[in-house]
Amino acid sequence: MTIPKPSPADARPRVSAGRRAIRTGVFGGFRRTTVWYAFVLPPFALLVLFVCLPTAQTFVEGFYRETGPDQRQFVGLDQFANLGTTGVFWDALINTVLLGVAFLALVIPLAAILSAMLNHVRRGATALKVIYFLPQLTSSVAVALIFLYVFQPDWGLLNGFLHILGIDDVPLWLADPSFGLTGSRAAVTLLAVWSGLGYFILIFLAGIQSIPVELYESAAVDGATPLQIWRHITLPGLRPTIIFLVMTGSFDAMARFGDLWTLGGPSGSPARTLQSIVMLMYQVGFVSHDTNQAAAIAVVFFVIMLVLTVVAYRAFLSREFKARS
Amino acid sequence: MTPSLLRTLPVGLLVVGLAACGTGAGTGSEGGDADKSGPPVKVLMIGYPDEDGIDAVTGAKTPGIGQLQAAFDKANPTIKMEIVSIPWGEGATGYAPKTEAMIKANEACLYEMPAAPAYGKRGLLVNLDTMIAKDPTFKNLWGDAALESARSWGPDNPKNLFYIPNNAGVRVIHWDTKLFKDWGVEPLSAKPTIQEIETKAAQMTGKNPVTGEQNYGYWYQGKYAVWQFMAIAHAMGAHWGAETAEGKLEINWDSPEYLQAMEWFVKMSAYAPKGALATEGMPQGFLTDKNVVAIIPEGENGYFIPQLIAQPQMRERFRSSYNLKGADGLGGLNSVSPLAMAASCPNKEQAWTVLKWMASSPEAQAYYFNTSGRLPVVEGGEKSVPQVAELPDGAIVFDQVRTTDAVYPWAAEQPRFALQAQLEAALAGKVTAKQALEQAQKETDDWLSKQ
Repeated sequence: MTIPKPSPADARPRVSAGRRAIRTGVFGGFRRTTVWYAFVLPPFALLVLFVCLPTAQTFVEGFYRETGPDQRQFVGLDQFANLGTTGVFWDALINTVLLGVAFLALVIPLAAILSAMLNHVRRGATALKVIYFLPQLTSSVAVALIFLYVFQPDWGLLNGFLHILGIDDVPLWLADPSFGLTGSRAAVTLLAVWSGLGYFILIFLAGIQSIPVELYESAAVDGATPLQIWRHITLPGLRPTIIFLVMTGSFDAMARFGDLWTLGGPSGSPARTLQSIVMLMYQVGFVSHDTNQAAAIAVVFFVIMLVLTVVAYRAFLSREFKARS
Repeated sequence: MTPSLLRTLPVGLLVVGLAACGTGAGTGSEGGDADKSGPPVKVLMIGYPDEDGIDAVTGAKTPGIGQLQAAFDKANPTIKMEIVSIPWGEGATGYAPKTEAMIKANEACLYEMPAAPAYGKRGLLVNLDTMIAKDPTFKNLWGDAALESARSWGPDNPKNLFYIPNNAGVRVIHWDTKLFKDWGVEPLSAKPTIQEIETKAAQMTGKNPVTGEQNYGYWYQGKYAVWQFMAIAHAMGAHWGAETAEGKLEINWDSPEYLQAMEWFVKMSAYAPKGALATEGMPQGFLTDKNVVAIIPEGENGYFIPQLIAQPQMRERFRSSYNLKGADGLGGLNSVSPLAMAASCPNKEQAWTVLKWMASSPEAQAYYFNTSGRLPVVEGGEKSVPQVAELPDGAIVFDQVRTTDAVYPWAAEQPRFALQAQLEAALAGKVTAKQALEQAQKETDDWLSKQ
């Protein structure tokens, strides 16, 4: 087969055709993908409208003070300085962190153990998973209303049960502002664990089932005990799962609101022990009508969450990504 | 799917999505008569049923908000009014953020607006004195005391009338005649004093001599104990302070009278069930044969009036007395429902007519009562709700509405939450009454300094 030698006259048109082909390729590709950009546009527009713009506006509001209808005064960092000197803000922040840490410290080991046990259940595993997960599907306000009766000290379900067991000196739960294991903080932590356990179990279960079976088989051949297998295979294999749950669980715990508001009311009763940072933000903004101060709280909260994310990424996630690549 | 359809679908979805986002919340009525000119007067109402229904507890019929709309349309054929009805809700979906959003977006002219003075302070409401001055037909049906009590500071005037009450709640002291009889204690008087309550509550705490059940002499709603405390303190001669001509609040919790009141409250909490601090509302068994609490202060209309109407057999057992009164003859939380006009309202004259009708007409007063047990606030309003007058203590209930303490301008502000939190700590025995008041004062002063 002979290939005709291109004449000098043919050369220019051939180059142009190449460029045209590239251009056509780029624009053709763009045209072909336009439709997908169009699909992305509505949710993106909604994200900008309902998340990005309000977030930006919140940052701006934190630097102002309302002085009248449609009037405001730039006050610089005053709103933030006020927060720093307000004991109520620090109490709410400490409460939020305490409740979050207590929740994670309970729910993660409990979910890890239950998921490992569930993994060995041969009959009824699906039914058990559904039962564990059901509270997660229930509205947090509805759950809180039910637990209001569960924890009621005088005629509640839990203390009624304790009375049946012969315990007369029953805990006061939501009427006790102490830090103890039977105080209001302990009660709402139990509520959160009951409500969130199913989700944590399912994620752990997925993590356990992603660990290669061969590892377990080798360990069995080597004569490892179940505890050794758990310690040296299951737990290390669950590291990414635990990191994921600690991170997402921390964010959820920090942003906790619905159930605490229902149980504690606007002042986080009893004695502000149930007032989280988001509750304080809501109370200041929508009960006391100081939207600028509430915006300052929101900005501080945003920064805390951002720092938490960056620290968690640097400490755990970046290493996970590197290990996987 | 064809390419052209693929291209147009997302755009269509976006338009539909944005249109859906723009749809108003609530159950706005379906426009009005075609011959009514001008834009409708929009009214935000809170907590009324969307549809006709039946009360799940009492079995009584509850008229939907459409019935109030229909009654207005019938009485005012020349004015187009549109009700936007929202529920009280909870937290982030509660009425407060919705009200804030609506008034900032100039969505309505009239607002049923808890904490109206706070909105007025921000310059968002009309001083209704200006409407009264222009209205030669205006009659003060609410009484001078009620309107004086409604006045509060605004940017241009220290004594604005930012709202007119359209209905009211009430807080009375209930007492269980059966428990009094079982214990052989004299009935509670119509206007009980601090001493009488203390003595009788102490006598009726313990094992009931007839039934053997554990009885309690006293009760308090833990989460809202601050209002009970204010009634006690007022009866003991305490006064919270004042609002200056510049709109600044001067608040003093740390006084001998408040100390005495808090110490008394803490002492009385020993006669209440241990879990009262965690409660809101009435004790378990209230208005039933299972009740074990003898004296139940802060009984709110919604907790007892519809129930007693539905259960005539309980009327003689559960009686009502006045709330604690101070030397001025007043006492108990002023829990009127304020109806206010937005400064941005474009048709104020029509809105003023609507406001007056909503706040005074017999039809509206009856509607508020039939849906939520709220009581009339106008003179002669008793006639709109004859069911209440028939109760053994109906006269006390109506009179208590007229003899409350003045409105607290700090009712939704940080001083309330500071006092409530410290009161709870004192009731839980974590701090002394003195420490609680000192801390509440410190937090209040901190807030006041940043006003």
